[in-house]
Amino acid sequence: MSAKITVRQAFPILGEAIATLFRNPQLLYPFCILGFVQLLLMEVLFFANRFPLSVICAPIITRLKGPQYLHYPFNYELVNHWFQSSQMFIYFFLTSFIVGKVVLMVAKINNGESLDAKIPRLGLRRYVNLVAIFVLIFILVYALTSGYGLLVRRATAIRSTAGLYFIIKQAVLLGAPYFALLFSILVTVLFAYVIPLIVLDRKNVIVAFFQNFWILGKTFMPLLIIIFVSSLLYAPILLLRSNQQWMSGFLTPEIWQVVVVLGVIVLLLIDAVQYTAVTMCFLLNKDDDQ
Amino acid sequence: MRKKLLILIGILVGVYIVLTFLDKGEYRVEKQLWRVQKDYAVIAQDPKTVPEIQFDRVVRRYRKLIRKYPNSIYLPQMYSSIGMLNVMRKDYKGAREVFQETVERFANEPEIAAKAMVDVGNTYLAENNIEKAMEVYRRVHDDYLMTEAGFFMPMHIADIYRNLGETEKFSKALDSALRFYQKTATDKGLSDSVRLNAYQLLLSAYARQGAWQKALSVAKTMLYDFADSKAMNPQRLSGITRLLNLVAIVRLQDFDAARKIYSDFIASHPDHVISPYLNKVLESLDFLEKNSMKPGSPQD
Repeated sequence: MSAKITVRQAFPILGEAIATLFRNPQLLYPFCILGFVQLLLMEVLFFANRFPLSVICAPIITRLKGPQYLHYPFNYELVNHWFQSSQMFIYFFLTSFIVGKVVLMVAKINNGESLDAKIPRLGLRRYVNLVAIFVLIFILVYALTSGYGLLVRRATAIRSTAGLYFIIKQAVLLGAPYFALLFSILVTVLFAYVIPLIVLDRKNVIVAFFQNFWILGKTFMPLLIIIFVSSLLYAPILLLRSNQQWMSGFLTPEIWQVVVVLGVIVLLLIDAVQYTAVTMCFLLNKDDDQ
Repeated sequence: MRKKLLILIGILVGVYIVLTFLDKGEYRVEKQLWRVQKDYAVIAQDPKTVPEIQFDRVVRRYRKLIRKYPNSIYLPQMYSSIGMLNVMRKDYKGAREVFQETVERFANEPEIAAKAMVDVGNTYLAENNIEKAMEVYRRVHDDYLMTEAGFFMPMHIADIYRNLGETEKFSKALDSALRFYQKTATDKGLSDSVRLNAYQLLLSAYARQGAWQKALSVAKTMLYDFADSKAMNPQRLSGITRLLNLVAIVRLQDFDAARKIYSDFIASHPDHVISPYLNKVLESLDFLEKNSMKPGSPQD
């Protein structure tokens, strides 16, 4: 793994990242823990309206959302809404830790070390820096999505039923989830190297932030391809979820919940591939510089 | 790692099984009922085009749920849906049997029984058997007086005669309703909630008579006499002010009457929770009066 990164190498790197995950399934273990926590939380929310959890949760649900959310099928709405809200905290405090660990593991594999030996500890300082960058990434994605929300509001005001304005309106309204994915891809690429810089080079978040752009300048396109292509795995889920209104006519809420669970698993797989590939790019670039 | 993964999956499955096992509530019924209700909704959209077999299938599914969950709180809803399905396919006799079954099964729950009885009456009405329908409605009023349905029946009967265009019977029924609601509203031995309901229906009865001054007086009584009652809540208060405005401004075109009622109330209840709101209503009245056309102006 010591060649210069070119656009042509994007796919081989992506392939190598997937192969690394197959060869070293231990890399997936941290993501399994993350998935476990997420699914357990979803499970708790799912049973929140029923005995025995309802003893504590029912008054809270009634107060915050209304009594109808204690009943089928509205409870599914509540499960997904609250699950989505909780993702922010999981992302800040758990995903950051898990990703840090994975980056350390990939670096070990790159050094030819066995993953059976003890994985180096992340340490509080690096963890705090990771949390900081994850918060920053979240704020940026949130800002972009909110900005898009304004666009959606403007688009809904368009009254045309044909012509260019109608096409723009439809593109803005129907494309919302895809634009959200695109923003997420762009922000991931923009801050891709901050995480390995914090974890492997022990830089603080501000130094890592600026150095990231220096490395990114040299590998932007291949990285964009890697992140974009791996993110496409989420497109079918997105397609299903963006047609929820139409499909809910013949699909039960339970099947929808399966789609949500699948979405969680697919996102974890994408994260595993992306962070492995990003760390590999980072290490390749480092080798190249040396 | 595989072992650890199995443990994690085991925890998830275990939690699911344990929590499912512990739940003895109505969630399972809600889930199954929702599926049947979806089919019901499809039929209700256009019952004329639905084949008989589909009605039977949905009825069978409701019956199955009733057998499976005989103590469910959703039982009245299930019976009602079966009855309504029969009404939709114009099997009024079958519908009556189901509603009657509900009355018998829920003899100890007057609200449910009264509603089912009203449904029985409605089937006669659908068959154009007015006298029989009225007989059932009167029985609902007599047997279930303190239920919502029973309490509303005198007005319901009057409304049916009005819709049928039977002026004399309407007038007679309305007089009877007025007497009942007047008597109930002024009976201080009854709870405030019942009296307030009676006043509200009394107001509606006066409105149907076109006796707007009397209607206004009832609205005023509701506001003044029950302002501090526990039965009064913000929704009810805003409902009363809406009614009061409607009667005074729209019907009587008397802004001063409404203004006087509100001003007097604020003066006599300066610290009442509704007083700031009434002040705003007064401001709105001033604005409305300034910007509205006076009767007799050229636009009239």
